[in-house]
Amino acid sequence: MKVKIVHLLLISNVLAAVIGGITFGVIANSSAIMFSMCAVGVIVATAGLSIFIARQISVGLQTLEKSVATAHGGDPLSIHELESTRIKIQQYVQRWSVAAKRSRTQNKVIDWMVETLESRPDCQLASETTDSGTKLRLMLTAIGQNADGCLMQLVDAIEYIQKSVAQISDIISSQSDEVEKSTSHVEHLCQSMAAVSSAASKAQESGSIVSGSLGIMSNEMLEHIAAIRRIHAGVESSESRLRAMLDHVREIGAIANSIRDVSSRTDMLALNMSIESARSAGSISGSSNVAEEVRRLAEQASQASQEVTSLVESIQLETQESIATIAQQCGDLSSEMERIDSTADRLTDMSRNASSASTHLKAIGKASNGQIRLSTELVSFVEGITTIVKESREHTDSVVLHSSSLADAAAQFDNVLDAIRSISTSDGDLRNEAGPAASPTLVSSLMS
Amino acid sequence: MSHSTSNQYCIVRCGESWYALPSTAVREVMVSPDVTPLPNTSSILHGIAHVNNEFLTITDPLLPDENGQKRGTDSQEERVRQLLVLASSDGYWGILVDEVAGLTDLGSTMQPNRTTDRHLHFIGNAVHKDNELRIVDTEATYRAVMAEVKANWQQSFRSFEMAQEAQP
Repeated sequence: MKVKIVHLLLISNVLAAVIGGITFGVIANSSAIMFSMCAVGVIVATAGLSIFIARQISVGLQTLEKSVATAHGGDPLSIHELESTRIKIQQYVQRWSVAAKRSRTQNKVIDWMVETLESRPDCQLASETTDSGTKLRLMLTAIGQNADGCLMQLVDAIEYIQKSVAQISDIISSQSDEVEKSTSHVEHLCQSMAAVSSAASKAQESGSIVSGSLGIMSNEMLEHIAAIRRIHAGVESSESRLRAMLDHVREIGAIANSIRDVSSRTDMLALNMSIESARSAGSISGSSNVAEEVRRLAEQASQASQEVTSLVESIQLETQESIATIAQQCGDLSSEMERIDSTADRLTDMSRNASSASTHLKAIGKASNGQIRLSTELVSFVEGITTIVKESREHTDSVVLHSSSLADAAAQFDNVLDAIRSISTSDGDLRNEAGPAASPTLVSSLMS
Repeated sequence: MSHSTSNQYCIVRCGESWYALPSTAVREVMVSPDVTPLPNTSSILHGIAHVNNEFLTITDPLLPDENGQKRGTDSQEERVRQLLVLASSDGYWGILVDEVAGLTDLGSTMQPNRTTDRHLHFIGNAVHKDNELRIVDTEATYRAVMAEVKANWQQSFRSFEMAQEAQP
């Protein structure tokens, strides 16, 4: 679109310039040269300003299009407004194209006017001169009226452009502020994500260490359990051996009891033998001495058996106490084994959970790093948007400046038109009063 | 070497008391058999026992305690009591003892001192291994015991007769 606008304006103004040049060459020796020069100069100046403004607007539109294309995730409302403003500016550019066409029409009118002047002989009568001046005045009046209409449209367009540019400037300012705020927030977000990533990385390292330690503890606990089971088996074996030993000790006690019983019976037998020998012989004989010796031996055997019995009883007592203690220790060991088993299970669960937590933390770290990358890219995008917005603002300011220049040019053009009107109204009177000699005055007023 | 048997005594212990019995009166020493107690008799008459195809009257010098149990030197220990079978003019009878120390000659340690403790009759005292002995008069004791037995039997017989007469 902008290329078309530029081409259209260029073609129209080049044509206007060519026609103006030809007209200038043709009427170089005529008396209405100053009017023609003024008209051509105004038209050329207007066309040049139009081209310049169109180019500036085109550049601004291009920048805005880039901004919209770059800020793809920006505020939809402000971009929409920018787009609508761009469309309106394009409409006014089209209006300026219409104005350029009218300028071409004016050029044609000027050409017709120049042809009319050329058809006039060099030395004509005063009446003819008066008719030509009247025609010229009428034509200048028509030109002034057309130029006045175009000027009004141009002034309206300039006012609308200024308003639109002011709105665009406000929007761009607010957009710039919002973009700066967004940049600040995104930077804070980046810093927070970096902190989260760092914490997740450290937590992952700690989790890995804890998981490893728990694994080692679990293995050591399993080894302890195996050792305790071996000890438990050894204690149970000792208990069974003690029970077997207790049975043997009981057997020894029974044997000692039988020995004591035998010695007792031997003692009794020896005593009876002594009694019988005393009763039968009436005196202590050799058999009585033998019986007495046997009896002493029996008593010694009985005492020995009693000692054995007491020892066996003490051994039995101690063995039973040892068995009871070992049985209690076996029970305690079994309960401790159960507790250690449950502790090992918990350690295994903790190790598994720590590994899982480490994996999750690793994923969190990766996600945080990805978010940091994306945020960095987002920051760069936002900075690009900020740059573009600043450029748009500069271009907008430039458009405002040129609009002001255009307004000044329109005011000057209005003054020129006023001069033309005054000349067109006063020229008839002068011609009627002074004749062709008044032409230098008209030229000088137009030149001013 | 021969010794006279007049001073040979069998030393026995019954509870905490030591007694001496003439060796000529002692027939045999054996482990105490099962003794069947006799009702309505004094505590010294323990009962009767079947020994060598004879029914012997068994006495026990131990005094019963408040619960009726015989008290020994070591009440906690299960005592294996021994039976001393004695010969008298009318037959055999037995006396339960805790220990038979053996035969010994009391000699000059004997001191005549005739006493009676319940149904036990003593003819004197002696000392043996720092233990004071009481020398038992076996004949007198046997007679006392048998008198007790007879009285018991007579009383029992009368009670039986009275019971028979009382029946319609």
